Amino acid sequence: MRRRLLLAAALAAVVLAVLFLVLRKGPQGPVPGAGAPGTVGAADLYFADAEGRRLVIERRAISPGTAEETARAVAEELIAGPHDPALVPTLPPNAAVLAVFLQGDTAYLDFSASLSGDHPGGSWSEALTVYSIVNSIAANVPGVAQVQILLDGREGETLAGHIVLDRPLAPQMRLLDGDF
Amino acid sequence: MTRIVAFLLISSSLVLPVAGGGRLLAADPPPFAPGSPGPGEGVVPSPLPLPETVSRGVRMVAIDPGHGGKEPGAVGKSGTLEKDLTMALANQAGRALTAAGYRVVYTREDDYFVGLRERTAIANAAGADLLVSIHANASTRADINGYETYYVSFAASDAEAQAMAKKENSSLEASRAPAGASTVTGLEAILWDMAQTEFANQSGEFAARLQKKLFAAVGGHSRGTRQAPLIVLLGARMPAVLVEAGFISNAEEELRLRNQEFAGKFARALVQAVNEVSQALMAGCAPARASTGAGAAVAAVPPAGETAREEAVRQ
Repeated sequence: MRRRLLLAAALAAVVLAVLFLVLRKGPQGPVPGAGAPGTVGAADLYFADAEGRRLVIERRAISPGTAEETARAVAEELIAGPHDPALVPTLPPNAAVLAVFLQGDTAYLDFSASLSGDHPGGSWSEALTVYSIVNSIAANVPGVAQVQILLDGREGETLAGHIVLDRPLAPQMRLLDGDF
Repeated sequence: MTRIVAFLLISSSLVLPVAGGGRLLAADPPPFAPGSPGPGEGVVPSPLPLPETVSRGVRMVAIDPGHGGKEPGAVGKSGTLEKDLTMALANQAGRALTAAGYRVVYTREDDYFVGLRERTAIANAAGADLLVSIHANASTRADINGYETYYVSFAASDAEAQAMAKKENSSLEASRAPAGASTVTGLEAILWDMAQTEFANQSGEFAARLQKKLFAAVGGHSRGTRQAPLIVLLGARMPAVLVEAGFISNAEEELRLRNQEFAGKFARALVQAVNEVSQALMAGCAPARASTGAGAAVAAVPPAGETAREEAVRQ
């Protein structure tokens, strides 16, 4: 009987200890999608607001990996679109990431031609697409200061006939306010 | 073929150093901007470039109908092509400007492809005082609507400028460039991209006036003016704007954009805005177009690498 009581007490102590650890760690531990940008497992993704006027940030969890893997994951999350139904996707859903590589402070992201071919067009839509990619990559991949977007392995003059695309582009954070 | 003939005709008569169908609708004798004093009032128009210290109004407007040829631009739900809308709006605007006494040069006259920097070069070579690029907007969301006017206030970052120069250099070195030419081309590329920064304020003012006149003429949803690194405006040696006249992806606006009455209102709004800009320029602001200076000479044509690339695309 005494042995049983001791066993029950030990079990209770273990359960209490586990509960204590879980409760203590809970608010401070890694919560999916709540980490800081640039850290492993969380990314700030730039999508368009409901009016298509500016870029807004949606933070979500991504798989940890190397810088190149992170860049690819970010681009693929952009293609997947925003989780918040009030936000507007900035990339065509059937676009694909063909290759990602880094050189110095420049990230090269090679997309399938559908990024251009399936784009709805329009100057501002195009600006939002280009800078949702540039801003998202620069914000989440350590060491990247500019992004060169490629289409089927080549530099394009533009994506849809308006915004410069023939060089590496630096992020434009003012697009969060709806302007350059 | 039409374009080749147009190029030959233009080359032999007007000596425009650009390929393409830049069409000059030259009124003869050279017209006066509305509101300006006539010849009997003491001011004689000069065909020679005026010194930069002398302010002058707008004499010639370059109109750029967006997209064309193999590039339809945005496509509406009912199948409307942006390139057709922009051509129709451009023609209406050109006729209204000509009737108001302005000379007009078009960057394309019909449904064919013209490279973006080539469009700017046509406006530069013609000596236009203003450039208006006409487009129709689009979005993945059908409810988004309204019209907006853009201008450039985009200076390439140092890293971007260096990357551009490096790219231009390497592309030339890989081709048949003579020794020493690559450095000049890199510089040309940067100067080309920086040309519009000189006119940022005037372009912004032109955009604001056009947007205001459009709102007065057509009402509806004005999305205001915006700034963006638009290629067709970057190399312009004059105040330059790009107007997105409405969303082709919005069913109501797609119909409106095809409406003749709307095109007429759009054209009148543009004439009014050009009149105001012209008067503001003559009232003592800086000249609309820098007519002298090494920068103007360098930026009169697009960088060689770019022309070669666009030629290659066309073939």
